[in-house]
Amino acid sequence: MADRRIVPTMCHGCSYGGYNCGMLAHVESGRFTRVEGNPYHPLNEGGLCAKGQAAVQWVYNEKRLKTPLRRVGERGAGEFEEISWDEALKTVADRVMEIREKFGPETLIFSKGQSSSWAGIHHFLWMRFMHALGSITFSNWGPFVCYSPQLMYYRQMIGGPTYPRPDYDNADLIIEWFTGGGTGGAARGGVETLDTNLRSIPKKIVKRLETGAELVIINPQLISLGANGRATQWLPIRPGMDGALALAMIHVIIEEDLIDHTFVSRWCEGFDELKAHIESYSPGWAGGVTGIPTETIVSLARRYATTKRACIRVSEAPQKEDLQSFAMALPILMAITGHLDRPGGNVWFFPAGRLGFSTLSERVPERSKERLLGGEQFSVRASGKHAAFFPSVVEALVTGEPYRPQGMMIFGSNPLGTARNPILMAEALRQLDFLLVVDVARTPTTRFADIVLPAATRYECREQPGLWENHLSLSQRVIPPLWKTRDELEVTLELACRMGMEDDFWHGDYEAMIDDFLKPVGIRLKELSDNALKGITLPRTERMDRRERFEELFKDLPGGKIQLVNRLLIPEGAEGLPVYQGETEDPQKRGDLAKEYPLQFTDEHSAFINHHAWMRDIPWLREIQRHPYVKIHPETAEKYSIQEGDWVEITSPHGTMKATACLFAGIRPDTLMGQHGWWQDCPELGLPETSSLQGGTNPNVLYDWERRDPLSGDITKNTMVKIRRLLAEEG
Amino acid sequence: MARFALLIDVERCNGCNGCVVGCKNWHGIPAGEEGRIRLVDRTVGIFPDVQRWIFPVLCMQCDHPPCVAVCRFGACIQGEGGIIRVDAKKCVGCELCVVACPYGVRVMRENGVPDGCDLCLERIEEGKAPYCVTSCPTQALIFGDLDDPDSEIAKRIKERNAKPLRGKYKTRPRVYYTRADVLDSLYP
Repeated sequence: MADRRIVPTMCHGCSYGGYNCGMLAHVESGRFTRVEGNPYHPLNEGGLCAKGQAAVQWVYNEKRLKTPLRRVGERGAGEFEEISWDEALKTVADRVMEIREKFGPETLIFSKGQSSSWAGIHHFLWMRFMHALGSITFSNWGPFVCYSPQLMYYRQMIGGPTYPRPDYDNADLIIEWFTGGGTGGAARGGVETLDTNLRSIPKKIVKRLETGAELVIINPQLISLGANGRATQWLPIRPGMDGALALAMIHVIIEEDLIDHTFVSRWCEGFDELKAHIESYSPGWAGGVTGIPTETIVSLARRYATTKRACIRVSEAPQKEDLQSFAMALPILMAITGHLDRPGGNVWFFPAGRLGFSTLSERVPERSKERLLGGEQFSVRASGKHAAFFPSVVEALVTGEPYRPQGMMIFGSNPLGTARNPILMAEALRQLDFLLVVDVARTPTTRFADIVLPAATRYECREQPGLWENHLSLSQRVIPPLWKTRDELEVTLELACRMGMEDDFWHGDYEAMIDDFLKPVGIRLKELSDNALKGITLPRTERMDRRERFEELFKDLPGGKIQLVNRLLIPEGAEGLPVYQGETEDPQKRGDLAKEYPLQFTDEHSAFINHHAWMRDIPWLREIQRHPYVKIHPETAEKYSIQEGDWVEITSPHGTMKATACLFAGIRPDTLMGQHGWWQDCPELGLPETSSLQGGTNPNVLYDWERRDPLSGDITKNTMVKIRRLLAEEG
Repeated sequence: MARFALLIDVERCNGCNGCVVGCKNWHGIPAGEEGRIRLVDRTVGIFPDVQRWIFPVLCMQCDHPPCVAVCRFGACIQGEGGIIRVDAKKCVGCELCVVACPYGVRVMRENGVPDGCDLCLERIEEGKAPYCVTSCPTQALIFGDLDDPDSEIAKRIKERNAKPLRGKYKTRPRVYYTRADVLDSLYP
């Protein structure tokens, strides 16, 4: 009889907030054989998405990094020699301390990706590590295009710690506005679960629809959530034009006097100015801009305003240079219709407690703060200057202005695969004096590293707790690290100790660190380990379930009121009111360019079967979508003699990429949609690696890096392209 | 005797491929080989008035199974609860059952033995539901016994007017779909 164990742990298929779906890992004779969802886990209740289901192939993947490496060839060539952990960590510690001494701690940069979670224990430990070194140049690609830019506007306009989330459970009308509809994590629903009580969004939505709610999809493509008769309406908006639709909805609501007068007079400031301002944004105008019929815009506005329990989810996707008009109009729309923090509307969720330990931010010297890259950027100032502006870091590396960062430590991030302008990114990485990359697999980014360290997957790592709403769960080690891989947290502790900072890092004692992390909720690791199957449920607080907490939510806003006219933004060069500007590269505006580049291009954010720039090497997932793709309407495809599966070349004014054609009748005929993150090979299926750079399979080469929303720094993912079928010998 | 069945509540299916990959994970079916479950994803209509339908297809668990009828060696078996399975020892690998299946959901494995969904027979014996049923993120699959009129599946089939696909084949499948009227015309 083989030795069999079942280990309760958390999934690592996606990672938001360190609290993930509950998983039961089966181990037979020391081998991790298969997984199942943990039925006791309140987030997923036994469900698991495709990414979670493929965990075993993620762990036993021949593509993984297996041993520490040292660069021997040119930076970027990817030539390495194997070295010992002792030698690798000694090199890292020596080089980092040398740079700190010689150039100052602010020239050290830390960067991480989503793989290691936002706001989880990794985040705390790495912030603490950098602060202890005296640097706040903690900078990541993701936050500057995704959640944070929108959040910046929301917080300026309506306060609150996050943006207000849709209260699906109680909504009668659900508007999914350019979201993936749960593609980010089919069992959990993506980033919306971070710090909120939105368990398993797709399940919540489909069940609410069964009991009578209606679903509206606003998206250039008909997402799967809107399939199977679920969407009562699909508004195929031209990509990037969301601000125009939102402004026209406000116009209709004010003109037809569908506002919540009581709420507006008690809690909002600047309504008269808004009313005057919104006059020019008629639904007729917006119809032309958005490609949505005028009467559809009017009816949606009426429906939203007159449905008492109506919510809107705006996800990560509205990445545009004109974020301002959209991210200011949306909170206005929610506020004037009285949908904020009321049942079925957009509400703020608060957890019963928070995990964490001090990040020692008081250790950061003034000089580092003053020299923070991108410190002049409004979004960086508005968030209290706790992280550098990523594009400024890249530009400082390339130009040496205002100074050149010297050392970079990247944990679980592949900016060459995910960031806009990978060509500039490669140029930036070449300028570094020292680059450490820690990852589970070789990536285009590891090629530029001086030292590459092989990270263990989460299934091979020690205990990591996560908290969501009022439930504590624990990630546990399923099997010991394979090959010479190691837990990133343990590696960080050892590095800190080698750098002489052992007093600040628990003298390398892992359990002491976890206990400290759990301290705010008064639980010890031992207790949580003993309850690993079901986790620990903390008592709910009164505040969690109360609604209409306006006084508390708006307390930091001027006069304690929602700023329909945001005077704080005026000195920053904004109007204070949402002004529609649109995207520069829009065939409607650029008739001159439209002859050569007649189609609009954007990319979808996430998919059920991969995650950002990773997981294309997992055979069970990759066989579902073998090649990078671009979605194209069958009529458009016919025009260019393109058939399903053909390799095509897509060219914008900024670059060229290749993809296979996916003919899809559920997309606007004037729009193409690709997906970022395609570079990885999958030898099991005979699929080769492709370039992340010009002419490869990376949509990020198509966009203009300079086209940014001025205040938030959000970079556009809208451009104009032409497409042609590649001949067999070109493919 | 029980008649085990599956109801696919299409309005709950988000097309996430969780069942497709989950089945391979649970049964250890290698990548590159066809799985026991596959998704159909079809979009019909003329822009912008289009409808998209996504649904899983798998062994339809026919009461009158053509695969069993054509097998001359007794390798395709309709066993306990009406579940179709294969006795690999008796199979000669002639592929007749694969050809005979009107739903095209029987696959040949590399060892020359045909394969199809057996509703996770080993789990049913342990009193559990098939793996795809317990792991579906949106709980779109419902498993149960048709002979028990009080079972959730029996009630829901009635309530939702769920039907097998391609009823014209008269093989009397026990895999039911909501919105079968629409899906019937989209079945590949």
